[in-house]
Amino acid sequence: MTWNEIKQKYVDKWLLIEAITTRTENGRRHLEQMSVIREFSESSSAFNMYKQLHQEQPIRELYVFHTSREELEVVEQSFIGVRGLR
Amino acid sequence: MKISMQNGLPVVEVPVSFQGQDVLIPNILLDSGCSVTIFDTDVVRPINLTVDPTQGRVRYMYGVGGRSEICYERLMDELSIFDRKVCSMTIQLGSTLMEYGYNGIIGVDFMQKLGMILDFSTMTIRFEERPLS
Repeated sequence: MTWNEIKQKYVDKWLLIEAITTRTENGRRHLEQMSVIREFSESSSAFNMYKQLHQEQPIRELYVFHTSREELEVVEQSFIGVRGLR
Repeated sequence: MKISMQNGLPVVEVPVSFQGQDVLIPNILLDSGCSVTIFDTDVVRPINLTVDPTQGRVRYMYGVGGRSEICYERLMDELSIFDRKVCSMTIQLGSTLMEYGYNGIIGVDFMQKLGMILDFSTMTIRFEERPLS
């Protein structure tokens, strides 16, 4: 589904979604098609599930959004990460 | 403020205040190789510092091995950190504990804004006393 379709179907909800098709243009990531994994009334529950799923399957592109957002503003950035002695 | 070394990296305890509520967050990494400051969503929730439902950019960060992660930007009108007030700063909220083992990361943006002096000879953080821009 597109964000417009999702917004209409899920009103005033926090959603855990997975990006299905994306396009990157000038550092901006456009999420074209998404699937809704689950809806939540609290952001904390949505983030807990995000963290758990992301830990298990880091390759999946997951997001948490509230459906009161008009547009999804996602910017892309390369990242090296923390390099400790572990 | 005392710096402790864990796995060869400097870690501190950080007092954070937001809208009159305080929390003391242990296990925060000081990272001068990181441009931004990020907190785990779980550790700042007790002071109602959460992801704004309606606005704020989301950063999709991709790294080595196809791994990616997301974090949420939030513009703070006012926030107190290390008992010092900062205005109009953007912080990031995301998943740092599961991901890296830290409750958050203090990056260069806050180090510069706060005039932080990391003194590895005494293992303490000091602050520049002059008024900061």
